[in-house]
Amino acid sequence: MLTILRDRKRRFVYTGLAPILLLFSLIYVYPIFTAFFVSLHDWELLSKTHDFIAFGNYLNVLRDGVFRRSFLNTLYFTFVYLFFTLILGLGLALFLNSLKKPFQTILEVIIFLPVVTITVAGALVWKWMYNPSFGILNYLLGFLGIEPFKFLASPKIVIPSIIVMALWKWIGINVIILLAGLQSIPEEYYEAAEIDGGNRRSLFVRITLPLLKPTLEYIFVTTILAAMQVFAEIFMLTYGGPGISSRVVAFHIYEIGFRFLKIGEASSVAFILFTFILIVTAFQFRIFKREELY
Amino acid sequence: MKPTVFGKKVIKTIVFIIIAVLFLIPFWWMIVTSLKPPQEILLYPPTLFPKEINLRNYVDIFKRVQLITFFKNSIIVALGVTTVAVFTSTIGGYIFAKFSFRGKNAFFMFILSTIMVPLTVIIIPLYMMAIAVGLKNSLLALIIPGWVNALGIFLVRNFLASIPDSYIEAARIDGCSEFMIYLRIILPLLKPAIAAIFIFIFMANWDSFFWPLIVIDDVSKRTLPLGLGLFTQAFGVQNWNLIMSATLVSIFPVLLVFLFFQRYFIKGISLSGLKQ
Repeated sequence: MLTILRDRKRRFVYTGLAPILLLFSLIYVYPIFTAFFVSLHDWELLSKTHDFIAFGNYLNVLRDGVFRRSFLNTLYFTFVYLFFTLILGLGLALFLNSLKKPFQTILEVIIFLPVVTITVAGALVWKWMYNPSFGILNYLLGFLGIEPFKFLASPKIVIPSIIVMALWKWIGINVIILLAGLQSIPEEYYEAAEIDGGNRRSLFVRITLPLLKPTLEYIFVTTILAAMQVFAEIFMLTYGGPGISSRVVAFHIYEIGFRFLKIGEASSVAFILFTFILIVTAFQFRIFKREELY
Repeated sequence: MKPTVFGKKVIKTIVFIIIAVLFLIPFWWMIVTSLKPPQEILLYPPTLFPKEINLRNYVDIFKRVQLITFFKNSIIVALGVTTVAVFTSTIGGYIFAKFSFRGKNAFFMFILSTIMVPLTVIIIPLYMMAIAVGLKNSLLALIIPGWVNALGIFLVRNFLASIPDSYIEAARIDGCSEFMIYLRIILPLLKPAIAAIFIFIFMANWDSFFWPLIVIDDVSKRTLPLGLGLFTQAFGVQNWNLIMSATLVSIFPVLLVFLFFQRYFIKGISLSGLKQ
């Protein structure tokens, strides 16, 4: 009886798990090895032959000014976006947390509306609002006495303009996650600390922030992972322009891989991005771990 | 000087309104623009409210763009991914939560580690694979890569950890087959987790742009983001009213569903935190 049960269980585990593991291998693992393999070749998408050139693509890419600019743009976008996601996300979550029930839900829903809006659709509205001649934003800023901007046409402020759009689109997710984090902190902690004579700011630093650490860590990782790959927003708002002022790594991969069909070079770019993401996240985990000692 | 209770309330109300307005301006501008006739688009200063309610753009846009086709394709793709992904996530999560077998931890870590693999890195090999198996320019190419989801498996496993084993053991003694236990006992227990997984996978695929952009060639096979994103490139400034009406039509169905089920949406999407 028992052995029959054990065999049945084993059969269930293996028949259930085999297709799942196979799919994960085909969709994630095999492509990584393929990407690395392709990146070592002078490989054109439609040609039959490809020469092995070892790290030739990597050397070319690292020397290429367009790639370097795309990479720096991606870093700039990612870290400014991450900074504001954390600051504004925390601010909005604290504000929501201080509201009473119907108002809290109403604002929560409003902040979340862009999240359920297709990114392409969101980018289109912002492109129209950013229009330097007929757009609403310059007109509204005029009331505050602010000179008109060339939002998406100016090399200097094009990336900040895209960041504003991306924050509007995505911050809702992080606000909701942070709000859930705030609400899971037991009220007694604050009461106890107040008796000990802590003021508002010290309560925030001594209780709220440390207890929010796992939540903040999660947002760190997911935001960096997403921002390093930003694509739809760039494609729709600027197509990497003006010139290459808002060109990012994902867009660079798209253009050299799928427009110029140089997939060997594009794969080496993809691999540089992958390595960088892994290093940043590993480093991040170490920072958070070290702080836990205190 | 300490602010009074009344003063605090006033400040809170003002902050509330400012935040709400900032988040809503794009939606309001979408609506206003979509109601304007072409000549009003090029007026400066822009009119903040439409002079008249003009629904012509909404009629025209359906004649000029295959929005219905795009919508249908998006539904097929999102449901084709989500139904299978819910199945693999629940069965995988159940196996990792309630069975012990050799290599369990290694397999689980292997699956979890795929969360760190960015789409941008594997998109070229996926494209080569799609060509090799003849799935380029087909909706199936958009569907299959989403059939397994590490986060889904992870959530189900955590959810089931709190369910006592004796519950399952009793059914086993009664002679239920393993698959029946999954179907009759585990799945009903998982309803809240399934709702969350369903929503975050559906939404991620609904929004997907990069992968469809490179894999789909025919206009008739475009999904909503792709169709919306590419047709507008052929339009000029004077057509912003049409673009905005198409945009509004595209986001309206999901926005409506969201307003009805906002609690589930907020929970489901915040659980993922990842955009595709």
